[in-house]
Amino acid sequence: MTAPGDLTRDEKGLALIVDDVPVNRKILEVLLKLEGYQTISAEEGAEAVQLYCERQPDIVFMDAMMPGMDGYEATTRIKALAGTNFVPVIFLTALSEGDALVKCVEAGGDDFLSKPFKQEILSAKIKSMERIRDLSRTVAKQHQEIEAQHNLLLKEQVIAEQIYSRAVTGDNVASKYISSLLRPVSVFSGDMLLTSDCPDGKLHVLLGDFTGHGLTAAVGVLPAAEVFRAMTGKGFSAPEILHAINSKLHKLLPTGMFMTACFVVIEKDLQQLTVWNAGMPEVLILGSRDGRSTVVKHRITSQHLPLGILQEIDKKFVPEYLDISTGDRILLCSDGLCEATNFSGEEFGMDRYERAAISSQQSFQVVKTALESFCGEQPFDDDVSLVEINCVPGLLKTCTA
Amino acid sequence: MSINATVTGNTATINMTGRFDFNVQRAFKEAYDPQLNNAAVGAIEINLAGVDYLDSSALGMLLMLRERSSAAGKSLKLCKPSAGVAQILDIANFSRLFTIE
Repeated sequence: MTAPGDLTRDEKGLALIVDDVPVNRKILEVLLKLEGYQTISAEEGAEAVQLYCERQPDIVFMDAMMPGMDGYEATTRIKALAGTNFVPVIFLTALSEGDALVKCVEAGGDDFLSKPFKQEILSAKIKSMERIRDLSRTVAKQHQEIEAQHNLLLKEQVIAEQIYSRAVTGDNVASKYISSLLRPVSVFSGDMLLTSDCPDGKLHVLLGDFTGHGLTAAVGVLPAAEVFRAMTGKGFSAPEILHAINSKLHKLLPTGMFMTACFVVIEKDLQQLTVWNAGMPEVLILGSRDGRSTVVKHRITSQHLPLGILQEIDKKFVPEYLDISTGDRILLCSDGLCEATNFSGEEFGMDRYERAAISSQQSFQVVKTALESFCGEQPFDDDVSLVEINCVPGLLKTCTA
Repeated sequence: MSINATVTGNTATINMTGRFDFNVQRAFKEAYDPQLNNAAVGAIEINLAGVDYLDSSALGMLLMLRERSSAAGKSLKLCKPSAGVAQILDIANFSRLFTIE
């Protein structure tokens, strides 16, 4: 046993003793001093809560039954004030009934010390509490470190993503006739929308979706976008661009990573579309019947392997040519949209997508609203994108329609 | 998702059930690696009958296995996809790369 005068152990901390019987307080004070604790005391619960706030003790010894606020209520409040910080509360009890003990635990009590107090029992209980407290402090510290690291990483990602997306989409055609929604699961998106005017007046549109999502999916975005922009700007044709993107991705990406893509070429007379669908959901061409109701005029299903799998695109890589009319709309989406689920795990699905699309001339807005109300607060599992292109003269830089 | 492998004659069958997605990457690899290394196995079949969903990472894993099995000189076949899974394989046009039965 340590001598009462041994001041080196005072640093063990501050103990709060709560008991309405002065002699009990006195005994504990003496015993705790022997254990190396400084002590403060309260006669009932409200005073204990007050003292807790003022002095932030490291451990609390709490009588259950007291005049004024009882020990259960005081413990509940102290535990609430302590939050994630572990402050052990040990009930001082002569209680033998199980019910009262249960009540102590329910109030947040961590242990019991029965009266009359015995030095060796008190000593053992304190050691056990200190062990838990140290563990809890270690966990809290580690948690803080992880959280700080995570926040730092996220902050860096947000900045990196801003630079990245400026590089990828900064040169996209800014047109009120192109509506797009790109909702990534995490900071970085594995879905990308690229639009660019060709020197000869056509419009090139590429909606791509890389395997997976997040940073690993986004690594292929920049090289693909660079090829798309450089070659479109120099007047290369869509097949040439698709071949080049395919080779680039095949060279860069590991086996198992690829890009599904839709490539749409809109002719400058707005009368013809050329569409390649390589692994994306159906592309819908919407038009109006009688100038009113919306109908699906064409649907382009996937005919090709995603890009980046084969070293060379095969000969079967031929597009669909479609005749369209001014005012027709092209609706593109990634599989993340169809596979978005609601709280009960049900998928949004192609049927719901198409029903929403044809229910109005504002297809983009209606699909977006339908998706949002379907999914509610449910987080997306995959990047979601939706694009509508309105084929009207204002869409193209130099329209001949 | 549960994955197990059985060998009958020279054919190894990897049976999969549940969601075939990013989370089973390791388990899938652990199921096919011994088959690739087993000289007695000449053909690998992936039994997809119990798979109800397959994501793009799963397509990626199949591509990886395709590369590995071809390097090991073993044939590879995807078997019994459900309607939903067949549709996903179809959209990706994987019938050009895999034998699907």
